[in-house]
Amino acid sequence: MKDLLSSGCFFLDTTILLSQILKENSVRIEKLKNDIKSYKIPCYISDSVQNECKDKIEKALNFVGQIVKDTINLRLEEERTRRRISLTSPISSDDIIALEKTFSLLHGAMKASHKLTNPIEVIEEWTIKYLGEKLEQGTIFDKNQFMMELVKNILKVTSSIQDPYDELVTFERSFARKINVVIDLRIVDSLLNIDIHKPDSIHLACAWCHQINSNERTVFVTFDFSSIISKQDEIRKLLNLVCCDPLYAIYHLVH
Amino acid sequence: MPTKILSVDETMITSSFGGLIDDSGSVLRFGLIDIKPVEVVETIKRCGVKFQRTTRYFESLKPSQSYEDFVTLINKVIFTKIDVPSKFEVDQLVKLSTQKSVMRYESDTELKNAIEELRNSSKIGRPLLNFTLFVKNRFETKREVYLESEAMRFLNSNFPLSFFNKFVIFDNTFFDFLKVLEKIVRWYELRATTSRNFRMYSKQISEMKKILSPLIDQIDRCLFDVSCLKNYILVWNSDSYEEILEEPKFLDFGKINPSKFNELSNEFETRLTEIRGLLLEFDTQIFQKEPRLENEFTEKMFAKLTMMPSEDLSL
Repeated sequence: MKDLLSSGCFFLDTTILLSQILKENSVRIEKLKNDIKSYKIPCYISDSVQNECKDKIEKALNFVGQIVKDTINLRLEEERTRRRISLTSPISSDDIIALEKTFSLLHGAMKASHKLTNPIEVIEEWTIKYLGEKLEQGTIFDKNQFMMELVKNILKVTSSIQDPYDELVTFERSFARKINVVIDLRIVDSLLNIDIHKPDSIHLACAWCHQINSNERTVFVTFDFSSIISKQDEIRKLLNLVCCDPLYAIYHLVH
Repeated sequence: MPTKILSVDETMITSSFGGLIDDSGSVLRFGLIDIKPVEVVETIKRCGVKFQRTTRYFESLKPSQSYEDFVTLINKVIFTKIDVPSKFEVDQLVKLSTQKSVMRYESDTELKNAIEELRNSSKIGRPLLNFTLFVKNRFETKREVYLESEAMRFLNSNFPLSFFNKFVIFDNTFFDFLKVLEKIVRWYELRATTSRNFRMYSKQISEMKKILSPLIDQIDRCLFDVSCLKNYILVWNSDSYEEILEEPKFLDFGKINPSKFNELSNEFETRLTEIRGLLLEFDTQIFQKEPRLENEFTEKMFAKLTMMPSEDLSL
């Protein structure tokens, strides 16, 4: 197949970077990395993708922090005060019941705001599983220790993410290089007409501008089905830019 | 006259460990860079037979400075840089902060015992490696405590969790730095001790110092930035000198100047990136760590959240 490949490159979307950093979608990511290595395909990360990646990690971290501190913590306190139970007495199954009500209210709020996904569900599973396991093991700890353990666990995980992030993005020691592309804002506007919003439209405009300036086929690789892959035909028609899942990226560079 | 590092100047070493997170870079510089190997050859007579006994040790290259003077100097630079509220005087802050560090050192018996052991082992084989391992092991045992204090500060503040995460990243980086240091010292000290003569021995030590110097410089700068940022938040969230010493009960983002905060944060982040880049040059595998099974469920939770559309991550 090597002989059939035309010169070209990949532009990576935030979803690809995050998958590599967070070890998600590993089969597809490994296939992409193997293709890049075997066929020596240049692989780029635009500034906008880099910024979005950083923002998403920070936002997720602050969101889970906020839920733990302002919702779980306060709710446990309120409920214990209402039941006239000391704040320092050990966590029990009553506290789990208190959290059941809290999460139920949060689910309602999320549904009302018509969001595509439910992040509360993810935090709920994590919190209750953690608490349930501790109770099963017979661990005796109070509310403050429980809060402390949750935050410590999050910090352990999120601080360790800096290593793969720096390796891939900051110091470019993995399979991609950063690239600075000056974009044509008219492209961003035209993408808006087919309902592709910022920052996705900026990422795509970077890939398109590179394709034009370098005169080499550029494939935009993404896992974002709802905003990008589902509109791949429209994008191709509009910009002559290929967008696809990493499984198929290499085949779009064949003559 | 030069002094033996692991004996006469131990005050400097041990004291600096007391405020490990504040000035470890300096203590490492003192123990690994500002040194000169010395060889003493003595002729001794045993049972009527003459023997030559060769002893090697390290001397300090710089005149010793008391721990208090050293910490005072650092605190002066920090409190001059960060802008303090008008209700506080810089000199008083420097004095109190220095007193706190000195007291912390004075009460650290574990550390004193460790230094005593270090001093006794200095005559055997590999004093520099022992010294480095001591710093590394000491830091490793304190990591959980450092993590706990960042978690505690977050729970008693209205700062975002990402702010405290940076300090945990710094702690992880500091540990990586100590691992790199250990590798370098181990390699060069082994080469030094197997050298044919003292000239070659000195050459290996000098090579080691040349390699360690930029690393220790960089971690020192980063430690300074951490101290500036932490002290800035501390003083602007305290109503009295006593509160500064005991740490405020609550850290309020509203009490600080956002532009000064951003300036200090950016300086710290830039420096942190620089030291991480430098470590990567020394060890290309430094960021590749074994996954920890106990964190798996939290990792999965966080990965799912991060992959969700950003606009969904709000209440």
